[in-house]
Formats: sequence, structure tokens, C-alpha cells
Amino acid sequence: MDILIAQIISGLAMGATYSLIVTGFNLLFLVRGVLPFAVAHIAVLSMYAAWITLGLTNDNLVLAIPVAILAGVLLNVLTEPTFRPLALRRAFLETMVVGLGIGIIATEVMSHFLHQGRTIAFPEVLVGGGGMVRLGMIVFSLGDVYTLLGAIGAVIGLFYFLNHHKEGRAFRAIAQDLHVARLLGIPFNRTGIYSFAICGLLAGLSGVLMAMTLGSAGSGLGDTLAIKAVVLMMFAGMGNLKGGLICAFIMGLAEALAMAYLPGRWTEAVVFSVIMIAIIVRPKGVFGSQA
Amino acid sequence: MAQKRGNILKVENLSASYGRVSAIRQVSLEVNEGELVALIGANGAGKSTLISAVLGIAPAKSGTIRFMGQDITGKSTDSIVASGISVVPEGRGLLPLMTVLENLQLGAYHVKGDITRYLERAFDRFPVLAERKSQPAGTLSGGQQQMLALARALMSSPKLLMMDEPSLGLAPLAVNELFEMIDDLKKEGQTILLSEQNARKALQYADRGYVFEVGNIMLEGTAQELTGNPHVRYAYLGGTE
Amino acid sequence: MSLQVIYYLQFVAVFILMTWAVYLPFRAGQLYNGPIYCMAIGGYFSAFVARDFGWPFGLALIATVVLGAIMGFIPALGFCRTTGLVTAMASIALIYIIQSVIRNLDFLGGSRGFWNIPKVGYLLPLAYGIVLIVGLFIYRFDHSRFGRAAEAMLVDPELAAAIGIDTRRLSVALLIISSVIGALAGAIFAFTLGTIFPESFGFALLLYVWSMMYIGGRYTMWGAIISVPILWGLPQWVPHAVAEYTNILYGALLIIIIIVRPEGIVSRGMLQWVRKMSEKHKQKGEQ
Repeated sequence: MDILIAQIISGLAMGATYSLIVTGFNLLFLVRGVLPFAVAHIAVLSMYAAWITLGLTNDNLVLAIPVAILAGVLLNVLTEPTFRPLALRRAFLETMVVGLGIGIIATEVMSHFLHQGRTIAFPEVLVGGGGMVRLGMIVFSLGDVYTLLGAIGAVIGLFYFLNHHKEGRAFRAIAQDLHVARLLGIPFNRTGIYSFAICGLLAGLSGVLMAMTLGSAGSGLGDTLAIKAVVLMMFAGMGNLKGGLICAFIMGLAEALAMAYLPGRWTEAVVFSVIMIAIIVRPKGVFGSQA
Repeated sequence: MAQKRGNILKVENLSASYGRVSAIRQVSLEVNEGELVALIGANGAGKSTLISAVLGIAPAKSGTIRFMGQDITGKSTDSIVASGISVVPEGRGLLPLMTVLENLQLGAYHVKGDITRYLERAFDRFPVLAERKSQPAGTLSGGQQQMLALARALMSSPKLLMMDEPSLGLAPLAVNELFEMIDDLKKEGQTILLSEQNARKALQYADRGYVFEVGNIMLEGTAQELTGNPHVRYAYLGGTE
Repeated sequence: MSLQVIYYLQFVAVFILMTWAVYLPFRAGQLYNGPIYCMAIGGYFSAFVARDFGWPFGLALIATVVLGAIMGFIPALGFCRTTGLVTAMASIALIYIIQSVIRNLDFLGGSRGFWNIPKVGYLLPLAYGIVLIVGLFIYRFDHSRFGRAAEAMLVDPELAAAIGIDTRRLSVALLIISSVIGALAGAIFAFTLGTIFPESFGFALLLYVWSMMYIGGRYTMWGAIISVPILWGLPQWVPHAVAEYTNILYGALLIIIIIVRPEGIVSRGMLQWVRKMSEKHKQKGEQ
């Protein structure tokens, strides 16, 4: 039983990292009508940024975290101009292909230039200081706890921003009715850049959290994460922020439990089959999309 | 004779289109400070296109638009709105999922600093909205929505308020309320450009007017002149009175 | 002909087929990844029956076509109902599923790969024979009423249904045919390489095929004929150090094309121009 709880916590932590990426995807979908495939890759690149910083500064954690987040913001904002002409044309499927293109480049950079394509591993200090928490018979890692707290904090911050801040309201206005937003004088370009910046922040933070939970990263991680995020988005409903969050946690949980209880090699096939069928049956997503 | 007022909006030989069809050709008009200027004409005659063009949404093919002396032709919508023009769009243009309060807050997007007093002013003027502050805008009645759209446009204390077919879809009682509100605003000194199919009401309150037909301005003059004009009476005011 | 050139030509054949396989449902508005999943099925199946059961290649091919049709039919039933992004992403799931299944089947070699696929001497001409047949079929399709129906579906699916086009059936048909082409390509692929792994049929392949279609020209079959030899040939002709950057180049080209020339190199405008030119020539010739 206690092992189960430990796995649940671990699964939730994993789900927490997914949730930030999915939220970033959903945010840009709502505000810009794009599918920023490469946000996941940027999250992984933030992990590399953190890793490099740790290596250069002798494991200085306090420096590595902001560096990672900053890397996420900068990289994502850099990609904004490539999406702009498409966002103006409302060419949604094409934005996915462009995102894919950026993802390919990111993956190649990771596999060729960063650490010669080998996986990077994070030292103990990042994975919760190797500390374990004990609650009675239940043992789980401190890193998972930090991850959950970090993700929850970020999500609360985001929702506060969307509901109580002028620019957040502007985001929602654009998502609900682009024409009206324009009439109100909400600037398309500036809000676009803000939204990419915030999404980049979420990606960078997700990278930090992944460093804590996964403990390592490789060049292929970007692709895997991106697919999972998009599939989650569709499963929950495109643009559905709350739905995406819930489904991200469910996926984390499902993966953890499946890994523990199903013969390992079939996990992926089962999970993907279920999701695929669910999407076909309910193309608008389980929680409804805001397309 | 009315004293010379400052010129707020000056449109000269403007041709613009919204969509593939060229909707207005060689249109010239002006709005001076404190005036209520009415645009009369049938649906599709070009009134809405003019408003879109002033806002920078319908691209100008030729001609100029001057606001407070500055050339705003070709500028982006957000800079135009920021410089002091706001619009009550056709069909209200509210965000139905957002609350009354949030819609008002969005009206003040370009206002710097604390907007509490602007909100208070809006709620004073429209007590109905104060009562429904936290309700989604979509749950309001037609007349109330119109009030909200107007209040939202006023949040930024615009130098020029444009209204596109505000009486459309409103019950007669609400239309009367609406025009009384417009009159109140005019008395407070607000400069208004009003596009209306309901010519009678519009000319009743306006200082001057322009008659649009098929993308051109056919007639212009003071409200009295237009009301007395036989063509206008026949086409827009329902025959002999 | 040197071995390198033979390999190059065979891979070009494979990718032309794969690009066409993705192009076909895309004509009706569906970006479908079924061909890739069937490529894995076709590759593994044909390799398996040839190596372990001694089937001659021709027989293996025919059986592959049949299997491709069956395996393409099942998901097609679901995917004919979905559109756009949903189809594209959900069909990616198919790829992961088949990879997972293959990894778990030991008689297919699992992750260690499937080795010692028998050589087929006449593979190159056979491959291009298949390309020719498939190309002819697609050409006929494009110019038939089915092609026009597909185009209608692309532009406005509701209108297409309203004027009596059986969108479901056409969609299913296109999805199945694309799967069959994919399976064929898989067989050629497997026998060219001699060894296959589950990873060969994964995400990287998907990116290649999408790139080739989008860069070459997504609304015409001739796009593949231009983009595949160039994109595939690039790493071969370019000095080895630069070849490392191929994928980055693909990614960059993809982005640039979508922004600058969304229809791809061979756009519909270009085709119309070519048609006009050839008509002018015909007229001149007749005078």
C-alpha cells in the first residue's frame, strides 16, 4: 500500500511536469492559434542549460534554476517571429509543421552539439538533494515534492495572471474573440510576444522540474514530450486549460502505475491505444475544446 | 452662429474596402469637438466601412484620415485606439463569457494607472451595470448589453466616440433610453460619430449628418437641413411627415 | 552502377512512394500517418515470410499488399471521421503502437532488429516499376471525378457532403490505399537495407516524409518527384562534415517553405503556368 502511495506521488510529480508543458501549448493555442510543437524541446533545452550551468559553476543550484527558466523564455520568444505570419493567416495545421521543423532543429542540436549527444544526468543536489521523505512507511523523494509544489505554484500564478492582470485579461479576450480584441485596441504583436514569453517561462520551469524528477535527459526527450503534450491536449480538448492540467496529472499517474504493474514492454502501446481510441471517439476532447 | 470648434476627425478623399468589394470611394467628412455627427444610409452603403477604416481595420486604398491633426492613415488599430478613439461596435462586440466588470476593465486597456475612478464613473452613469458587475456579459438583456458596450467604450475617456448601429436589435423603449444617454453624453461635451439606420432618431439628436449611398456621400448638412431635404425624407424618414 | 548509387535510387523510390502515400489522403484534407505504420508492417511482414518461410519476393509483395489493406482498413474506419490535427496526431499513436508491438515480438527480433533479409536481385527495376504503377494510379485519380471530389472535401467538407459526395467512403478508400502504398514501400525498404529495426519506422521517418511532402509541393504528386531526390541526395553529395547537419537543414527548409512559399516548390500556380506553356506550344505546333 505504501509503495502504491509512493508511486502515486511519483506519478503525480511526473504529471506535474507534463502539466506545465501542456498549459504552455494550450496558452499559445488560445492566444495565437498556433500549435507550438517545439515548446517541449525548449523545455528539454532548458534542462541542458541548467546542466551546463551546474557544470560551470560547480553545482550552483541557485544560479542554475533562473538560467534554465531564462533560457526557456528567450528560446521561445525567439521562435515567435516564425509563427507570426501563420498566426495572421490562421493556418493552424501549418503551425504544427513549423513547430515540428523547429523541433527537428532542436533535437539535432542536442544530439550533435550538446554533450556530444549523450544523455545528461543531474547530480544529487538537484534531485531533491537525494533527500527522501518518510511518512510512516511511505518513502518518496524530496525532488517529487518540490516538483509538485513548483508546478502548483506556477499554475496558480498563471491563473491569477489571466484573471486579475490587464495583460492576462487581454490574452483571454484574444482567445475568445480576436476581432473584438482588436477593436479594443489590444496589440496583436505585443501580446503575441508576451504569450510566447510566458509559455517559455512555463517550459523553462518544466525543464527544472523534469531535472528533479527524471534526473536525466537525452536528445530524444523533446520529441517524446511533444507528442505526449499534443496528444494530451487533444484528449482533454484543445485550448482547455483546466482539462489539460487534469489530464496531464492523470497521464503521469497512469504511466507510473502502468510501469509498476503492467509487463513493462507493453505500457506504451496500451497507453497510446487508449488515448488514440478516446480521441477518435471524442474528437473534441474529453473536456471539450475551445477551438 | 456656433463658435469655431476644434477639429477632431478629418477624413479626406478616403477610399477603402472591407473584403474584396470596394466599399467606400472618395469619402470626405469631418467631426468637430463636441459635435454629434450622424452617418445615415442603408445597410451596406459604406457607413461601417468608414468606421472600420478610421480604426485601421479596413485598409485605406487612398486618401487620408486625420485625428486631432495627426495623420493616422495606415496606422495599427492599437495605436489608433491608444490615441483616443474608441468604438461601440455593431452588434455590441462584447465578450459574453467575461463578466461585466471584466468587459469594462478591457475598455480601459490603454489607460495607465489605477482605473478605479473610471469604473466608479461608469457605474454611476449606468447603475444597472453596477448591480450586475459579476455577471457574465452574455446574460444581460439587449438594452443592458448596449449600455455595457457604451460604458466600455467610455472607459478610456476617448476624444472621439464612434458608434456603429447601436439601435440595431433593440426594443423601442431601449432605443429611446439609448438616445437619451447619447444626448446626455453630448451635453457633457463628448464628440460622437454615430452610424445609424434609424435616420429619424439619429437626426433628431445630431448636429450634422452625412448621407451614404453605394459607397459615396450623397448629401451632407446640418441635421435640420437633412431633415428638410425631400430625398432624405422620402428614402430615410418614411415619406411625408 | 556503384552500390551507393543503387542504394540512393532505391531509397528515393521508397520515399517517393511514402510521400505519395501521405499525399493521397491529404488531397482530401487528412494528414494521415497510417502509411508509416503500414510501412513497418509491410517491411517486417515481407522480411519475415521471405527469410523464415522462404517465400519468393513476388509472393511476399502480394501478401504484403493484402495485409496492408487489412491493417489499413481497421484504423481507417475510425480516422475517416476525424479531421485535421486530430487525424495527424492520433495517427502518430499508430506508429508508437506498432513499434511497441514489434519490440515485444521476439520472432521479429524485437529491439535487436531483424537481420539477414534475403537479397533480391532485381529490386531496383522492380521498385521503379512499382513507383510507375502507383504514380500512374495517382495521376489517374487526380484527374478523375474522385480527385475532384477529394479536392472539394479539402476546400469545404460540409459543402462536399451536401452536394452528394460520399465523404466517408472516399475517405476510407484513400486511407486504405495510402496504407497499401506504405506497406509496399516498407517491403522495398526492408529488402534494400537487409536489416530493419523498430526505430527505423519511427518519428524520424515521419519527419522526413512530412518534410518531403511539404517542401516538394503538398497539392500535387509532382512535388515528391522534385523534393525526394534532392532532399535525400543532399547528404550524399555534400562534403561529409556538412552532412551531419542534414536534419537541421530539413527542419530549416520546412520552416522557410511554410512561411515563404506555403504550397511547396511545385505549387498549383506553377502547374497552371506549365499547363499554359504547353498549350501555347501545342497551338504553335498546330499552326
